[in-house]
Amino acid sequence: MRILLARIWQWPTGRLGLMCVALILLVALLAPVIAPYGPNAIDVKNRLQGPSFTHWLGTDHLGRDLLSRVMDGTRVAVLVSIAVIAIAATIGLLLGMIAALAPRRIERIVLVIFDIISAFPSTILALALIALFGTGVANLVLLVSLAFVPQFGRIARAQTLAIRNAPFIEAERVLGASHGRIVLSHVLPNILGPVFVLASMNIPVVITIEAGLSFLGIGVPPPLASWGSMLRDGYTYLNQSVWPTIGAAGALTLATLGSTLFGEALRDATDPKLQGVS
Amino acid sequence: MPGKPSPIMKTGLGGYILSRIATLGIVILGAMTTLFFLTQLVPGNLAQVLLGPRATPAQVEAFAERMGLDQPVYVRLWRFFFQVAQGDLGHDIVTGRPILDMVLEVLPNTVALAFAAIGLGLLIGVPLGIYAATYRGSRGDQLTAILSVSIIATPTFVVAIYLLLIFSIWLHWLPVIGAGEPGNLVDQLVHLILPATAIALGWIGYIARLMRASMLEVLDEPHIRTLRAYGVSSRRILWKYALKIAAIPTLAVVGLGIGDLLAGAIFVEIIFARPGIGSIIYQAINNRNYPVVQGGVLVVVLMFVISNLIVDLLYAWLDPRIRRSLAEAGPS
Amino acid sequence: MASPLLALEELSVGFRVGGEVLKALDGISLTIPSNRIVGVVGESGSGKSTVALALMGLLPSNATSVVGRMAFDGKRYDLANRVELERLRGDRIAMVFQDPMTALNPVFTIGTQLVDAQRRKQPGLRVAELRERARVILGRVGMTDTAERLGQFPHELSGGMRQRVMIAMALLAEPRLLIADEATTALDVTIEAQIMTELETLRGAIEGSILLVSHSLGLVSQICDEVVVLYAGRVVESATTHDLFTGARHPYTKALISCERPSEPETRRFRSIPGSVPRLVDRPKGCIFAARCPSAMDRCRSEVPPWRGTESGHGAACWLA
Repeated sequence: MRILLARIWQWPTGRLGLMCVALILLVALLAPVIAPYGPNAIDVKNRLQGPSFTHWLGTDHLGRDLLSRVMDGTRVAVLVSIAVIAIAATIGLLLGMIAALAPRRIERIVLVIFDIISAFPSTILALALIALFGTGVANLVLLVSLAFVPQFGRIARAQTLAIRNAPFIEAERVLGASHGRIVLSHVLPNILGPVFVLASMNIPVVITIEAGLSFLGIGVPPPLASWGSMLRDGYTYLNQSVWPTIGAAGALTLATLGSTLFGEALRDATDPKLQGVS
Repeated sequence: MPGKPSPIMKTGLGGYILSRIATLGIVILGAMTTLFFLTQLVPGNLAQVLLGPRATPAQVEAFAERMGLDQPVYVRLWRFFFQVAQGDLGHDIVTGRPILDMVLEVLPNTVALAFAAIGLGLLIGVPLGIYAATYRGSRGDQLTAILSVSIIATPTFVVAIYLLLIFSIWLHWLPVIGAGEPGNLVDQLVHLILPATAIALGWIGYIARLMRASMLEVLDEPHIRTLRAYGVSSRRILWKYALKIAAIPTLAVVGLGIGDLLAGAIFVEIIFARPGIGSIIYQAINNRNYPVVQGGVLVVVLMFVISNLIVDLLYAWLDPRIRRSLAEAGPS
Repeated sequence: MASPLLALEELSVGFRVGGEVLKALDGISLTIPSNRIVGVVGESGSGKSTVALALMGLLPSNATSVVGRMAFDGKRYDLANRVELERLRGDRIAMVFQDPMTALNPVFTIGTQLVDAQRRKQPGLRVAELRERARVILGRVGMTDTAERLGQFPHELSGGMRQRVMIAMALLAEPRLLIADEATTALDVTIEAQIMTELETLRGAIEGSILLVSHSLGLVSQICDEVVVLYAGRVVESATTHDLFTGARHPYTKALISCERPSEPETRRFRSIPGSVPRLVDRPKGCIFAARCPSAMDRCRSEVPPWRGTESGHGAACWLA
């Protein structure tokens, strides 16, 4: 773990990514403590203000402090994206391993399900699902994660297949170890690495989708602060003040760029082909 | 394969196209079925949901009967397929307009946007990638790398909002709203600039990065050294021999990104208030106009699947090795 | 004796690998007389391919400190100056590469590549004329259905056929010097024999010489007039083929010959000299072969042996020669 972080640190881009990710996690964790105002503290008299010492990023159309809302939005973005990836990875791993170990017929069915899900572009799938099933944080997380299941499933299946035929697994099977035991003790630890890399590469994608859906008004419901819904509000009042837009857009850019750089550095750091190359 | 290989290759390619179209049909049917069942899974009475909470039970019943919602599921699925096959995507529940008409009316706008974006992406991204690979490690190369990753990472709709801020709010340079006056090509093109750039920027970065990586790989291959050994000009080596090979993996990834392109187009249409499939879907979502959402999404999925087919065919056209393996593996 | 086609003087090349510089060639000199086939022989790592690439100015980008001069076809060249060498390529020097599987571009037809390879040599001809020249040459290197071959992609041809295409490409340049770098290593034995025959018939076909680079002394002896033996970036012996096989003077050459002796033909490929070519970061003080030499003396480990040549042109770098 420490070696991995050191390896990420050696690239300037990895360093930047790591710092952004650390900043985001820190803000998400400490938002209630360090935010200067409550995220929903309305102050209509001071609506649509520019940056000042009292409101560093200005205020929105209801006079809410934008810095506090950006910080609170960080919590939403982090929680939603981690929840989505966790659910997608769990279901994907399960289905992928089942596909690799189960009889051919079941494998086929699982793969066809993956193919059909992948036939929809992920944002559009999430959009269609939420439009039909209704908004809400729980729906958002569950339905968006559905779009990411095939990626995890395919990688889990490929890795399981590769390991299933490895000599040491054969030996264990001859010694009488059960399927479940073999999977838990060998396959799982071996596929966690690639799955973790895939997860971190997908974090910015999920952040983008969450913000996008919230921008369309079908993501995180108000009054919860999401960067996407802040951008939506800002867009509506764009002719009166640009600051609500800038705050949310800046936070989104920082988060997606930082997590992308981090994800790429992590991928490179775990790539055996690149090791030893500085 | 002894004897004359070229005719075999031609039928192979034809067979390949046929098999691709067959797969395409299956994927579309699968997607339609999924879409259909998703609508069925909507919690609560579908007719009630569609009409909204204020509808009376009598209205709901009449609506259900009119839409055939009282029929068993398989009958409705069959009818859905049948209708779509005839080009009937259903009707707008508010205005009663055929959805197909609504879609066809704005489809050219969306298609123009998508093509303009991808064209711009290729036109700038490819030379940029080749430049970065040729002058590897230079200032320009590093700058390209940093800009690429920043723009790729930023969501399209955020890029669109930045462009909106810069060019329309601050500089007042370019028009923001709409798709331009119908029939006035110049006006339409001017209105296309900002939306297309918003989508294209990410693609430029994406393509430049891919081109750079695959160019560097190709330029190290022995066949490039062969060309150098015979004094072939470096312009010809770069733009003919290396480019065609480097384009293959780039094209594959571009194919994978088409879904994001279409999704990005939806957002960009909304932000720039441009009539298109995206704005239709958006309005339908806000009005809970489910048949329109269903129809709109179906059209987007169709575009997605068809563009993937085009990419596959381009792929086979670029790489004779794939052409042959397809000809051999194709349906006999 | 007329002046040779090519006289290479004191060529040294280093490669930057990681943080260190490997000395691949250390003061190589050799001459190639007109209308002769000269073989350069050595184990892998001896630097024989580096010699070929240096003559072409095609050394990879991590090649550093290239030093050396050559007289070629009546003119002098600085081997550090790639631009000068660039003009020779595909005109007066042509090269056939090691692996015909990868030496041709996979996504263009044979015809297209043969046409473009001639553009430097024949700037005045139109594409159709260049194509016709290519078709004729393909016939000369023993290919049939030549018109159809031009429209084929490399993957549609066998390895032997592809190497014929490479030879055809070299012939189209009508070079004064043709370099064949391990031109048959990637091919199986039957095809190897065919390609060697093809190369030998070239002797009459081109107005120039052939430099045959190979790891196999046996192969080289089949068609070469003269042989240069390389070891760890230095020339250890050079002689006519006949002299070398009748009276090798360097222990390394003797070892190579005994490896090739067809006493047990089936196991020929498995016999080898014990040890391996040293890594070239820290060169030993004395003779580079001393560590593997069966007859090494104390002197060999402390002093570099001088070049001792006879009047017939047979020379070796060994204290015992």
